[in-house]
Amino acid sequence: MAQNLTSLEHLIQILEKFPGIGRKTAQRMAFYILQMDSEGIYALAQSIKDVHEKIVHCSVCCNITETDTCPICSDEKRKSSPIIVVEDPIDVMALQKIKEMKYRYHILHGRLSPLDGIGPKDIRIKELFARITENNDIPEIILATNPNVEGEATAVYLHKILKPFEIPVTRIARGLPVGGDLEFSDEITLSESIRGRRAIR
Amino acid sequence: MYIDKIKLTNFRSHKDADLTFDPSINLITGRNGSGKTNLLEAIYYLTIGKSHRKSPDKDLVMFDETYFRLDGYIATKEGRIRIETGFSPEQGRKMVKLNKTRLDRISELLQKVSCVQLSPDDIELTRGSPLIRRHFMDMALVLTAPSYLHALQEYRRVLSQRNELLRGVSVPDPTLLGVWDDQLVEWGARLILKRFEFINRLVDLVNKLYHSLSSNPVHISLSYTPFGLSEAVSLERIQTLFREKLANNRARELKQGYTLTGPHRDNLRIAFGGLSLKRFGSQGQHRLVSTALRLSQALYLKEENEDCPVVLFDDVFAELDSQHKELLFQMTLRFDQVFIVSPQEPKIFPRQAKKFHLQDGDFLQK
Ligand SMILES: [Zn+2]
Repeated sequence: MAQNLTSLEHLIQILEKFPGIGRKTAQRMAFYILQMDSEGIYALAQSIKDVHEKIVHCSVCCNITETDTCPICSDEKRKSSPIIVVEDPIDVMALQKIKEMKYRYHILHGRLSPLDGIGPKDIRIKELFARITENNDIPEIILATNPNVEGEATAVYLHKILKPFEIPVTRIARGLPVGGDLEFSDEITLSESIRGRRAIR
Repeated sequence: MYIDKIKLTNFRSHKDADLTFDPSINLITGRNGSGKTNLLEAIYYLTIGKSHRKSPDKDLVMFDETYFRLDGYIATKEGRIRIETGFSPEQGRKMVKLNKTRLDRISELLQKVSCVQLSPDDIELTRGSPLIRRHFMDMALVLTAPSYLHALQEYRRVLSQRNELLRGVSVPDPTLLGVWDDQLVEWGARLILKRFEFINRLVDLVNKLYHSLSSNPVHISLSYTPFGLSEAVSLERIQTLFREKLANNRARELKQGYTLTGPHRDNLRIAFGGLSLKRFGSQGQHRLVSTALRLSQALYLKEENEDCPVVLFDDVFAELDSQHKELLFQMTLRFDQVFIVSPQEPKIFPRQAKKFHLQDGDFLQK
C-alpha cells in the first residue's frame, strides 16, 4: 500500500488479527469504515471503548458483566440451583437460550491445553473452589466444557479434584454434534444434552 | 462407482482439460513428464481430498496461476453426484462442494467416494517402516468407518497435548497427566480394536489375491500384536493393557518427553511362508505381496462400502514380467472402474478400453 496510507494500513493490520478475519476481509472492513460518516465512526469507537471500560468479571461466577455481582448471580430464583461450568462467556449466551430451567454458571475463561501453555492455574479453577468452599447451597455441578479433547480433559480434571467436596458432578451428554462447540448448538440439542448429563467414571 | 467426467483447471500441468471417462477401463499413455500422473493425482484429489504424493495444496496450482479447480461427476451406489473442489493460496483455504452445497469438512466426502492407487512406491508397504503400514490400515478404516476418522483425529490431538505435557520443564502433576492418559487410552483402544477387525478381514483377501497373481502356494500371514495381544479380546482388555503399559513406562516417558506406546507406534508384520518378508523377501516377492496388499485394500473397501472404489494403476505394469502383467490385467476385471497409466499401450489388453494419449500437455483421445 502507498506510503501516505499508513493509518489505513494500521487499521487493516488490527482488523486482520480478529478470529476468522483474513487479510481480504480486513481490507473490506477497513474500506467500509473509511466511508462511514462521523456519527457512525463515533458510535463505533465509543462502543469499543465502553466494552473495554464498563465490562468486568463477576466476582462470583467470573462471567462478563457491567454490574458486579452479575444479574444471574443476583437472581433470587436461581439461588440453590446447580452450577454449570463452561469454558467461555459466549457459552453462557448459548445456554441462556434454555428457558425452562434456571441454572447458575461458572466461567473458566479457557480450557486445559498444554500445547497453548494452559494449565489448571491459568483458568478460573481457584475461583470455583472458593465458591464451593464458601457456599453450601450447591446441589450439583454440571460440567459443560466443549466436547473436544481439551474440553473433555478439563471436565475429567475438574471431576477428579472436586471429589473431596462430595457434591454430585455430572458431564453434559455427547448429544452435541461431534466436533461442535457449545457456541454453535441450537436450543434443542443443548437442553437434550443438559437433561442427558451423565456421571463421570 | 465410476467417474463419469472431470474438468481440470490450472491443476499442475493441466490448464484446462475436460474429460469423459469409460465406466470400466481407461488407458492413459504418454511420455514421461506429459502429465499422466498429474491426471491420476487429480482423480485422487477429487475423491480423497488430498494429493496421493502428499503434496501441499499450493503445489498443485499451475505455475503463475492463482488457483486450481476440479469439477467432477461421479456415479455412486446412491446416485450421481457432483464434486467441486479447489484451492487458492491467496485465500488459504480449500473449497469443497457436494452437489453445489459447500461442505464444512472434506471428510464428509470420504464415505461417499473412494479411490485406491497402486504405484511402484507400493513396495515400501512391505519393505518400509511401520509408519507406512499404519497409514495403510488407517486409510482403509477411515474410508469405511466415519467413527474411525473421528477416533484417529481425537487420538492425535490427545497425543500431542500429552507429549507437550511430558516435554514440559516441570514434572507434571499426576492428576493432570492422568486426565490425558484417560483419553489416550479411550481413543487409542478404539483404534486398536478396529485395526484388529481390519487385519482379520485382510488376511484372507491378501492370500486370495496373492494366489491369483502367483503360482507359489505359500501362505502370507499378517501379525498385529499391540501390547502382546494376538487377537482383539475386548475393548476393556485393550484399555487395561494400555493403562498398565503407560504405568510401567511412566518414568521413561517423563525422562524422554514423549509417549512411548500406543497405536501411533503399532507395527504390522508380514511373514511369507513363515519367514519375515521384510528380512528375507526378494525384490520380486516384495513387489507381488505389496501389490496384493494394495489390491486387497481396494477389495476391502468394495465389500465394506458395497460400492467399488475407483482403482488407479500408476505405471505398475512396467515392474512386472509378462506373465504377471497378464495376471494383473485380469485383476482389473474385479473392479468397477480402473485407470491405467503407462508410457506406451501395453501389448496385451484384455478388455475394450477408452484410450487417452497425452502429448504436449493435450489429451488426444483415440
Ligand atoms: Zn456472576
